[in-house]
Amino acid sequence: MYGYIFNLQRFSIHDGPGIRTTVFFQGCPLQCIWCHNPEGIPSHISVTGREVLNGIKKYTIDGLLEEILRDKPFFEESGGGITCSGGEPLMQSEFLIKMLHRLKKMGIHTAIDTSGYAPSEIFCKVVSITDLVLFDLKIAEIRKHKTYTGTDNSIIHQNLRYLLQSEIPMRIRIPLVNSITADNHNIERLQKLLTGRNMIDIDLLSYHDLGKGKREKMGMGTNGNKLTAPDPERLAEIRRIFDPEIFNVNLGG
Amino acid sequence: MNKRIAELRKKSLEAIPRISSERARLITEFYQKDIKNEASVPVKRARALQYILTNKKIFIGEGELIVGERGPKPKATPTYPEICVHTSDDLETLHKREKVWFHSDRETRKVLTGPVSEHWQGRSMRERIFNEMSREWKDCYEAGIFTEFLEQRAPGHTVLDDKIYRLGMLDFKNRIKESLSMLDFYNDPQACDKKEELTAMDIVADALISFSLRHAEALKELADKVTDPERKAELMAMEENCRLIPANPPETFWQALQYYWFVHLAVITELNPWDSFNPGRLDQHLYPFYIKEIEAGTLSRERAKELLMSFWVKFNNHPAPPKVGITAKESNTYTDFSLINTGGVKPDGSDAVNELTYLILDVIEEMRLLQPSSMLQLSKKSPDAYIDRALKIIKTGFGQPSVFNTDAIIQEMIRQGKDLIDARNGGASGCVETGAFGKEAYILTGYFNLPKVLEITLNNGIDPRSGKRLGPETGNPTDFPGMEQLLQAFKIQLRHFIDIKIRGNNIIESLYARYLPVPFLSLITDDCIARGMDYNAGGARYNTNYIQGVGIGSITDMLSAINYHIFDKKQLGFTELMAILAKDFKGHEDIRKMLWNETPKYGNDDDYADTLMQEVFEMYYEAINGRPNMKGGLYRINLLPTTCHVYFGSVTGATPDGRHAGKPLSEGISPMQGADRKGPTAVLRSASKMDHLRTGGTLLNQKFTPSFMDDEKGLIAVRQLIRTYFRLDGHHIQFNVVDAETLKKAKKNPEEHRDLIVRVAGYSDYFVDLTEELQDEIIRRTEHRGLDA
Repeated sequence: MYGYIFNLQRFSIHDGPGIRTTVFFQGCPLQCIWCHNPEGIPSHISVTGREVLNGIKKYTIDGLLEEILRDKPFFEESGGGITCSGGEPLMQSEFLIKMLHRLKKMGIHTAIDTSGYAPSEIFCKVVSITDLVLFDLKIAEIRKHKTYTGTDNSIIHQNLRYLLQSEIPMRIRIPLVNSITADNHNIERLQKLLTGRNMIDIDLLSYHDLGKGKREKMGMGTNGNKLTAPDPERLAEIRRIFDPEIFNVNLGG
Repeated sequence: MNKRIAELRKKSLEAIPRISSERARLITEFYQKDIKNEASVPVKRARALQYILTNKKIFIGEGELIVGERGPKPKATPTYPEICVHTSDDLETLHKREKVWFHSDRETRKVLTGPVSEHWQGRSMRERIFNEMSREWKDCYEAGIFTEFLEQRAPGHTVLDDKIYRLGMLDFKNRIKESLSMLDFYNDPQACDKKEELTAMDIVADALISFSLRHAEALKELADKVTDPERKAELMAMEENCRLIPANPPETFWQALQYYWFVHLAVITELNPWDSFNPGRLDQHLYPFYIKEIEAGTLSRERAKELLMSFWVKFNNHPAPPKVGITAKESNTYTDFSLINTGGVKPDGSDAVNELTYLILDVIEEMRLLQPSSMLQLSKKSPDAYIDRALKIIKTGFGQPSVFNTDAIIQEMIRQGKDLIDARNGGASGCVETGAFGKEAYILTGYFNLPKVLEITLNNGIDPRSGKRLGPETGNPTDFPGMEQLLQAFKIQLRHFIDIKIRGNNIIESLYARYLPVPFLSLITDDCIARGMDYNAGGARYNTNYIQGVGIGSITDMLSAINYHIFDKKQLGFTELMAILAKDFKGHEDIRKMLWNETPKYGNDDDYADTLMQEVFEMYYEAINGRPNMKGGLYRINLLPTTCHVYFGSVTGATPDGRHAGKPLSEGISPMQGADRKGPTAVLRSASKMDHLRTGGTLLNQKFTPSFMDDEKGLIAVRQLIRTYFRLDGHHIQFNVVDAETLKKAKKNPEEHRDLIVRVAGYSDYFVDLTEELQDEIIRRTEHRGLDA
């Protein structure tokens, strides 16, 4: 069995606690128009069923573990570990689950960064063997979600409810793009989805241009939308929308 | 900082580095007058220092709290004709060169090229050295295989411990008396020599006392003239200080600083030792005075800070003595490497960080001066608050303080056979050199160009730059079936050149012992008094010689490129490669790009390259470590470059890693500029595959942009990086903050800056990979921060 990985990022300090190595899994069911890792979207299997390794690396579990555990002394010193991101790591769930089991046995802290878009049984299985879930929440309203990400969000909401009711440590991550995710209406509605815990950690991630060039190269358009990030004042406003009794809001990853 | 300090600091920054003829004139006068006096060499040297200290101009600056200058005024820098006679061409070069210049007026030049030169020509150490060196040594020296530290500056490289804070010069004189009384003229064939040496030490102890009293007189005179009652009282207190110390041990914080400063001046006036001199563990030495006076209410925290700042200015007033020729190239800076140590552990092994440690960090931050240098000794016991405080200074980007691993330093010394307590009381000095403070002569003898030796190996013993045969015939690389044979040939060449270097060093060491003893440095270094021996002749408790390896990153990449492209992938032949290198890649940019971009390189935690680094390290270690020096000690290795990687690069042709002829080599143990592509953890992992504990110091530079440590999370991550590197026995790390200028260069010339990581809104990425607009944005952001020093 192989994992298809498009990047390994060492010294990640914004994807969970401590110094981490982030594993970027190839393939994502969503196509967010602001995506900063668009090269991670296509599947490694072409429509004709053939394997396509275009800048993608194919790893066995052992091969991948050897690579990503090189920074173990840094994890130990900092309370860091491995973050599985993507793409959508749950797309390669069989590999992911085996890998998380192995890491758990070794006492390595793991986190997954997910859109929540996956069959419920897979989602439940994965989060039950993960130390931290970074749940990316984008747009509350169904049609709008479909417009900007290409997918239905009902399964995402269902998985979110499951996660909120569990005791699994989690952080909600909201990308902020003006007039797409960052309007008051969306933020208020997202807030309403987040019930069931006494305290919820939220990271507000401002849109940045890092993926623009890559998206253009891949022929991904923005449907005439101009993507911009909220300015600092607007950020502060958004922050104030959240009830401080329930939400611990943090700017940046 | 208050107005007085701001004023002193400004004056120091504005003072123009000039050559002063005062010392050269005085020492020439002394030797000419004293020509008929048949005293022994050490006694003569002692009297010469006494003569200088008795006759030099006393300078007391406005508002100063710590007094004493080496020259007639700040940055008036002496020459040392007994070591190096400067010609009018030298003086002209120093006057006119673009960087690290020293002005000299007509009067000064007249003295230096007239009577001074007339007396010392033919007698200077530099001439003695070059006369004694063999033809093959000179060929290697000229080819840039190694440099020679002691051809323009004296051995020294050492640091003071706590003894002057307990002992006055009168106590030292008593020790000398005791040692004299123990001399065994019946059985010890060296008893007579010891008597001369001890007599010399006694003379310089007196000389320091009278030097201080001259300052007391000058202060008194000034106090009588001054009308401002506050300054008057201050001058009178300073006069009192100068009457009490150095004859007696200091009683106050202020006196302790003043005492050290006079000692410092005597060391750097006696000769021009490398790395000037250094109080070492300043927060430890001063703490008893500080706490006693704070508790008694006789000193406030603010006053202590003001005194330290005044002390800091004194260091900045003293540029490294003028260097010319290759010595100027290997160490092209005004800095004289007085490296103030903070933190570390106490003699009992417990954490030594105290209130004064933090006060000194405040001083470093506010003063922002080139000199003195400063560093953190971080042990596993040091609190996080200590390193976190320092990181806030580091991120402002003036390259200070650097960070050292106390636990590694101690283990390095224990491995060298030093006493545990001596090791705990030690630290690092100069750039990164491990030493037992107050008890060790640890002499850097010169840099060694590792990539050049590989270049010569690839040319079967011939230096392609000159066409001269410098090494033995070890075979043409085209005949090598694999890496093993190449490494074997390299090993033979390496040993050959190290032998030449050590043979030269041994002669030079003996010349210093015979002609230039240093009774003052001996007086304050254990166990010179007890042994009746000079510092330059093996009087110190420990005597270590170093040869500093340069370019380990470059040579690793060179070997890796050969192994990968020629032996493994077989996509390039040796004959073809050698022809391409000879042409500096002209017409073969595709091959160069392949070598540069597609070679597994050091700094990426890639064992393919890193095991080659380890092999080179072992060979270098084997060739040097444990060989005897002339002082009863041994040779050791360390890996640091100062600015020598630039000079060594300039004499090294195109290399198999895709580096153009003449370009700089990698510095310290850092990866080749632009070779590391996997971030800081990979660099640290690669660097920690070297066995630091078998060295006497390694230097690792890490670059980052200011935004990298913008938030708390970034700061903490950097602390964790350092802590982990030290857990892996790393010796030292320093952080270079990248300025906007560098980013602009990186944009224009991405190949050499592929290692540059920048923060982009919560994410980090390689700068050269960003879109042009983003690059511009980051450049603007960096410019906006104004990183002026």
